[in-house]
Amino acid sequence: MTPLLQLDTVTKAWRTPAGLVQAVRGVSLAVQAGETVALVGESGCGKSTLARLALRLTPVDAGRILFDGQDITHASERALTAIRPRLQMVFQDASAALNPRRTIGQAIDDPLRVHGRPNRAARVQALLGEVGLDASLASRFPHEVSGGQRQRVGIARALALDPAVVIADEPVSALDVSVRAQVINLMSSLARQRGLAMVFIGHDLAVVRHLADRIAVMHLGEIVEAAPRQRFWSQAAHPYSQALIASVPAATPAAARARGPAPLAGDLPSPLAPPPGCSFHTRCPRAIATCQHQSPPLIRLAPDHTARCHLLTHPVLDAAASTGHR
Amino acid sequence: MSLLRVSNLSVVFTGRGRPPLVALDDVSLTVAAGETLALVGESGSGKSTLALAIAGLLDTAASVRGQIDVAGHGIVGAAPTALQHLRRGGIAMVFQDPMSALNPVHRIGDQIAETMPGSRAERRAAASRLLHVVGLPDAERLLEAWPHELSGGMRQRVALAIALGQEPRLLIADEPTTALDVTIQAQILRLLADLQRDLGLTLLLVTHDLGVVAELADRVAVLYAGRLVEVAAVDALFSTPQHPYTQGLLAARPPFGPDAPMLPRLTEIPGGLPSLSPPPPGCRFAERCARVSQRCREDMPELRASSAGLVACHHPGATP
Repeated sequence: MTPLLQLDTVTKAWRTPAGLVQAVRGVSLAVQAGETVALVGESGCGKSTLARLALRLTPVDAGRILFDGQDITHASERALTAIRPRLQMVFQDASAALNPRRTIGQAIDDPLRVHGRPNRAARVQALLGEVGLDASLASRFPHEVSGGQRQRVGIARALALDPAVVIADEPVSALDVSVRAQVINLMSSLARQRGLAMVFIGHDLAVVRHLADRIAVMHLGEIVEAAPRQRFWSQAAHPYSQALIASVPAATPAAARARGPAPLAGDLPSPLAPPPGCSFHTRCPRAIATCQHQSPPLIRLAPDHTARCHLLTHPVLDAAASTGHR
Repeated sequence: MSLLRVSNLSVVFTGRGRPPLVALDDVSLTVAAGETLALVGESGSGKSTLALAIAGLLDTAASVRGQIDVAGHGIVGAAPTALQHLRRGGIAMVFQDPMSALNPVHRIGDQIAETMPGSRAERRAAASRLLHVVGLPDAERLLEAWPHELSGGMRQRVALAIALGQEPRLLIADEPTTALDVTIQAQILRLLADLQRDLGLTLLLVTHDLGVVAELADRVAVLYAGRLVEVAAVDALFSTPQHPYTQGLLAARPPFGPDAPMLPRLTEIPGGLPSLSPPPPGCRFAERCARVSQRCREDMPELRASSAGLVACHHPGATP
């Protein structure tokens, strides 16, 4: 089946005053219709840059982006106008994503107006209902509603043009615990009802575990592991994936007392100067000499499970690596 | 013996042309020496207002009633000089964003040594020791570093070093790991746990994250819309929460762990926070509560002893 959204060895470097940042280094990722793929990783891993590249909000340095089989890597703005309705984004901070001078109704209407859609007023009402907002909120301004309600507006706006793919960049990270569950439930039910494909960028692995069909772990510009949910949570193979899973705070005080030292010592390496060889070797508890100078190959552990790690080519360590979950 | 005692504390903010906002309403709690109390709440719960009030850092525009005693010293209404005296050997605080807590134009070593007694050499040696205590071994280099040269995790360690330099009897940590990456959060949580154990710190931990509570707290106080709704030992709070809001917060977390179930839906707490200017007359959680009765809407529940601690609810107990 042709993936709906496909990134093929995409590369992007940002020029900064401190030097060149290799934000995304040869990333390939395919998103099928109707599936939710989570991109996880720590700050500076390139996950937000990858989202911007996929949406063509910024051009790639190398590689290809395909939407529904069509190469949009160098598509003109005009050609993109036809594609963008089908490829939408939800941002972390809805108050920054919404124009403070436009009402909620106008914010949802804007994409409909720009793309010349019919029956706009009725569509705005229907969208408000779909995201669980009262129709009376249409005349309010973003600052007049709660953070959870603002994020619902951001979601309604992203859905206005009936997209096939929604890229959501940390959509619930700024929300309070009690409201977060509401918005997570809304996103998963919308994805199911509309058959949406979703790229969910997040750092909270408990939320990711709840939402994602497939998980891709990024580290310093590369996807170091990708696997479907069942495999990932039971047999994550990359030491970095295992460390991320083990770093999640305990669910209960008893579990907290039973745990050992922090899974990783030291700091994230700078994306300005990624370490040679495997970019994770400076923090990897199981690094071997090869890791310091040789870039690890992509290992296929199952038809849909890949990881980049020298240890996985080593038969003895293979068994140890598959007992990743804490 | 309790090191910190907050009695009937109310804080009201009054702004130009705005109705008064009741941020805290009749809050009483104690923290024993050597204990870690987690103050849990969402935005608007008043948890940061309470932390600032205890540290004597509340804006002067706030009108404060009630008492706060730290090691026998009153904080409410204390003169600035008296508060300053309290800060050395009394109360220290670390914040969510360590960058904003550090001065960008002063070297790390000078910032740690700034408030310490002794000669320049003595203070530098003490600063170096403190960096070791917070897990930063390369002290000689770091003392000369600028805040912007450090990672977020290192900055939070430096902020902790500055706080520990005061030899505080009470350390207030306001969302100390919220801005950090997950693997770094794991390090700082363990550092805080080690410091508690090794230094016998008394810690007031302000957080919205129940995972952080599970990792560090001995006791937990849950704030909702400016009122304490439940206070309990950490194990009791997680195993037998009595207040419907506490139960809702615990249930709203996506399960995580090797044997955790995959749920089709998360349990939601419907609705949102009530307005606090003025707050509703009865229980502030009433409009979001599945167990609400007419009494809840009219009559504010007070904190009372429960099977597990204290709870402010007309219908407390296990989830029906």
